[in-house]
Amino acid sequence: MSTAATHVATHAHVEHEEETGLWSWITTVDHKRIGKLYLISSLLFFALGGLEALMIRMQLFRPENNFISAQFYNEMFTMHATTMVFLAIMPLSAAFFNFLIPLQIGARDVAFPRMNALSFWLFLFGGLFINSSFLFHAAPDGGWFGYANLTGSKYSPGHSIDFWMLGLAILGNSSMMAGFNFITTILNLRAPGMTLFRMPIFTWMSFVVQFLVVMSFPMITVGLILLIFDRNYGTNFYFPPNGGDPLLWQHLFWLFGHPEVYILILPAMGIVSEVLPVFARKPLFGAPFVIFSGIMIGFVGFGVWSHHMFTVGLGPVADSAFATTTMLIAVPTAVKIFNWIFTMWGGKISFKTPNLFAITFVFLFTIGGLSGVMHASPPIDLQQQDSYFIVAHFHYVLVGGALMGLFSGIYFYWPKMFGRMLNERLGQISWALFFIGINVTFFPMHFLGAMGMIRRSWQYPAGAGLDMYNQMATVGAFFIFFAVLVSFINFARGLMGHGELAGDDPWDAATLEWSIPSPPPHYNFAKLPTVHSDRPFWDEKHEGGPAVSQAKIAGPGPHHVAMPPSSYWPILVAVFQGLVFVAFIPGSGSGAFNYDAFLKQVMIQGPIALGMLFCILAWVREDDTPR
Amino acid sequence: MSTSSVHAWLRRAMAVVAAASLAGCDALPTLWPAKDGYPYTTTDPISDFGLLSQHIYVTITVVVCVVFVLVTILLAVTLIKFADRGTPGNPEQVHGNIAMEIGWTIAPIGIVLFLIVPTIRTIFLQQDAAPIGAKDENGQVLMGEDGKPLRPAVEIKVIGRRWWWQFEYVNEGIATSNQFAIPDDRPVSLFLTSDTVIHSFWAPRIGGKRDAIPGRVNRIWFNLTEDIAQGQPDHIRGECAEYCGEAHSLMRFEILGLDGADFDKWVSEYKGAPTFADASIKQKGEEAFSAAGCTGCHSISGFAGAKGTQGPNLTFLGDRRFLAAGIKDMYPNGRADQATARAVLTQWITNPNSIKPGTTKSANASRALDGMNIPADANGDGILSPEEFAPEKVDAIVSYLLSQTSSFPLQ
Repeated sequence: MSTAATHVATHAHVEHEEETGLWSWITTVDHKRIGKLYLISSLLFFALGGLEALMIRMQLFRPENNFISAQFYNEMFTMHATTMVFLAIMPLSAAFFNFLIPLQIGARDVAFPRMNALSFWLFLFGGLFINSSFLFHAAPDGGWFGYANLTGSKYSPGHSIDFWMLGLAILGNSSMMAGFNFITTILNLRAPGMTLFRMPIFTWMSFVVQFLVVMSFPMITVGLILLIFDRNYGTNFYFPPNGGDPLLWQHLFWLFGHPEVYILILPAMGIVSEVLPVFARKPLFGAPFVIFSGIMIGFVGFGVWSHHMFTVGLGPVADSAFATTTMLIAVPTAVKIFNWIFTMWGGKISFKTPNLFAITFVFLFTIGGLSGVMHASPPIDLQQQDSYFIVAHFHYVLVGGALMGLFSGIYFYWPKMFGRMLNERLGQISWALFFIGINVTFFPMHFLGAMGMIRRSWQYPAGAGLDMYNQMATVGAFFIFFAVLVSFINFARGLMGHGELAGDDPWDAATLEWSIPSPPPHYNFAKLPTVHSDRPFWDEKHEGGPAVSQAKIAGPGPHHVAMPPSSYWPILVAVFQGLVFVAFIPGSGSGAFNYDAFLKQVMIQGPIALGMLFCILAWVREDDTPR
Repeated sequence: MSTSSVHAWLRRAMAVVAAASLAGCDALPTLWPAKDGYPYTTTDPISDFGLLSQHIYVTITVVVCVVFVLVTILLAVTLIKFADRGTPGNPEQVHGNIAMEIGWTIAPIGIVLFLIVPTIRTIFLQQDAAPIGAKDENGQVLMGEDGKPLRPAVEIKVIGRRWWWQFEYVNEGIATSNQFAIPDDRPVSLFLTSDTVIHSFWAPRIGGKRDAIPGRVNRIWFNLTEDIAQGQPDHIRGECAEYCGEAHSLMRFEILGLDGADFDKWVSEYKGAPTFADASIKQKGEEAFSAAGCTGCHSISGFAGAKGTQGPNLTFLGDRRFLAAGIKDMYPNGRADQATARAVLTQWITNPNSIKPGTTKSANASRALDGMNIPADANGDGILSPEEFAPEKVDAIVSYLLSQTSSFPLQ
C-alpha cells in the first residue's frame, strides 16, 4: 500500500514540475520560496549591520579615538540598530514564518499567497531604500529610536531623517500585511484534527507575534505620519516652542518599541521550543505553560512601554506602575526557562549544532533577562538608562537570545529547506566562536555601564577607567565576525550543493513538516494528514499512532494538486509603492508648508500613485484560482 | 501549623533576607570607587539621592546573581547528567508536571513582590517634595529666627544646550556654564530643562539621571552625604546621557563640591565680577572680544558690552579646568603650566570644530535666530585664520579669559 501511495505522490509531483529560473522566483507566490528569499536577503542585511557594528567597536577601541568622525559614528549606530531590528532579525523570523507555518499546520500555502509576495518585496525595497541613503551622503543619524525633536527639520536638516522615516513606513506596511496573512493562515488553514493546542510551539509563538505586529506597528506608523507632517507641512506635533511635545513621540514609539522587543524574541523562543525536545528525544515539558506564558508575554508587553521613559519624569505613580508590570514579565519568562531545562532533564541530549545554539539561547537569555530585572526598578534604572549597561542587557537578549535562536533554526531547518545537511564541524566552530565572542563583547559592557560610560558615544574620556573593557569588547566583536563568517561559508557550501542528502526526517523529529520530503514539493502535502496529537509524526513512528506521513496515509493520493499560479503584480505594486516614497524625498524636510513645492510633489508622485493603483486593479482582476 | 506561626515564620524570613541584603550592602566592597580613577562611577554615590538607588541596586544585584547561579547549576547538571551516551531506546516521555510548573510560576512572583516593595518605596522617597532647607537629625527643617530656613536649599536651573550646559542659581542670580558649585551642608534642588533638543543630566556619583526636555521642567534634589573639608573641594563629574546630535558624547560638566562656608564665599565672589591685577589685560581683552563679535553670544560679568545669551557665560573662565563642556583638559600638568592652557584655549577659539565636531554649525544655527553669523569668521569655514583675525588679538582674549579666577579654581 505504501508503494502505491508513493507512486501517487510521485505522479502528482511529475504533474506539478516546479518552474525554475529567475522569473519564476520574481513571480513566485510559493511560501517556501518566499521564505528562502527572506532568509537570504535578511542574512545579507545582517552582514551589513555586522560590519557597521565593527566600525563602532573599532572607533571605541581607544579613548578619544578618531578612527571615524562623530557624524559617521552616529550614522553607524543608527543604521546598525535599524538594520539589525528591521532588516535582519525581523525578516529572519519572517523567513521561518513563511517556510514553516504552513508546513507545521499541514497547509499547502498561506491564506493570501500574492500578498505574501508583496510583503517580501516591500521589505526588500524598504531595506534598499533606507540603505541607499549612504549613496547620497544622507545616512540616518537620529538613532533607531529617532527621538523628537532632534528629528525635526530644525535640528536635522537634509534628508537623512526622511530616508529613515519613510523607509520605516514601508517596512511597517510589509510587516502588517504579513501579520494579517499569518493570522488568517493559522486560523483557517490547519489540517483536519489540528486543534489550536495541537499546533507546534513555533507556530504558537509566531501566532502571538503576528498579533503584536498588527497591534504595535500602527502606533509607530501614526508617530511617523506626525513626523512626516512636522517635517513637511509645518505642523507642530513634536516641536515645543509652538506648543508641541517631544514626549508624544516617545510614547508612540515605545508603545510600538516594546512589543517590538517581543516580536524579535518570541519567534526565537518558538524555535528553541522545537529544537530542545527533538535533541532531548522528549516532548516539550509543560507545553501549555510555554504557550500561555508566550501569550502572557505578548499581552503584558503592551503595558510596559514607559520603562523606557523612567528618566523623563512621569511621576512616582506612573514609575511604580510600569516598574510592577515590567517586573511581572520576568514571571512568564522564568516559566519558559524552567520548562526548557526540564525538557532536557531526563532526556538523551545530543549536542548537534542546532541544539548547541538552542542551549546557548537558554543560558544567555537568562543573563539578559536577569539584568533586565535590575533596570525594571526605576531607582536603578536612573543609574543604568542610556549607559552601556543597557547595551549589554539588550545585546544579551537580542544576540545571545534572538540571534542564537534563529541560528539554531537555520541549522535545524536547513535540511528541510534545501534537502542537504549543513557541515556539522563548521557549525560547531561557528557556535564556539559565537559563544566566546558574545560573552567577551557584551559582558564587559555591564561594567562599562556601571563605570558611567554613556551609550551612543563617539568618544569616551581617557583616565576614566574605561579603556580595558572597551578593548575586550572590540576583540570580542571580531570573534563574532569570524563566527558569522564560518556560518556564512557553511551556508554558501550548502547552497552550492555540498553536504549529504538529508532525507525526510534527519533529526527524528515530531511534527508534520518532517513527514514530507526535503525539500518539500511545492504543494507540500499531496494528501492532507489528519492530526490526532501535538506530536503526530513522533506518535506514528514511535508510539504506533495514526499515520500522518505521506507514505503511510491510507488511500490513493490526488492526481492533481491545484496550486495558486505565480503572479508579477505583487512585485509591480511594491515597485510603485517604493517609487512613491522615493519621489517624496527630494521635497521633504523643509519644515514648512510650501504650496509650490507641494504642487511639484503631487505632480511627480501623482502619476506614480496612479501606476500603483493600476497594478492593484490588475491584481484584483487577475485570475488566481488554484490550478 | 497555625496561621499566626506561619506569619511569624514569614516575618522572620523577611527579616533575615532584609538583614542579609543590608549586610551585603555594607560588606560588598565598593566596585570602581571614584578615588581609584573612575570619575563617572555609579557604584560610589555621595548623596542621599544616589544612596537610595544604591541600596536597592545592591539588593537586586544580589538576588539576581543568586538566581543566575542556581539556574546555571541546574542547566549544567542537566546537560552533564542527561547527555546522550548511546544507550538504546527513547527516554521516558514526560509531558510535564503541573505541581512543579505552578511552583516555578509562584517562585518568581514571590521574588518580584520581594523586589517591588522596596522599589516603590524608593521611587516615592526619591520623588518626594523637595526640601526647603537643611534638616536636623530628626528630619525637621532647621529654622532661623526670622522664620525662614536657616540654610535654605540651593535652587539651580539647569538648561541643556547643543552641546553644553547653562546653570542659573535662582536665588543668587548667578549664571555659569559647564561648571558649577554645590554646598555639602544644605539641600540642592535642580530644575532641569532645555531650549534645544532633549538632553539628560547625569552626575553618576550624585545619583541617577533626569532628562532635560524642552517645554518641560524636571526636578531632582539631593543632599551631599560626604563631608567636604574646607579648602578641599570635591571634583564631581557629569555628562549628557540622552543622544542629542553630532557632539552628544562631548557634552559633559563639572561640579565643585564645597564645604558650606566655602560655598558661601564662592557665591559672594561669583555674584560680583572678576578682578584683574593688570587693568590693561581687561581693557585689551574686552576690545578684542568686542571686535571679534564674541559679545553677540557670550556674557561676562563686569563687561557691560558682553550680554549675549546664545553661548556659554564666560565669567570666571579661569576657574575652569575643562574647555568645550568638560572635554578638553587645560591643565593636564597642573595649574602651573599656563602655556598648555593658553594653547588649548587658542585652539578652541580659532578652530573649535577640531575639538568638538559640529560646534560652528550649531552656533551658527543658534545665531541665525538673530540673523547673525560669527563676525570674525568672514568666510564661514569655522576657522579663525590669522588673516581674518590677528593672532595678537586672540592672545589678548586668551589672557583676558584665563585671568578671571576666583578663590575656587578647579584643580
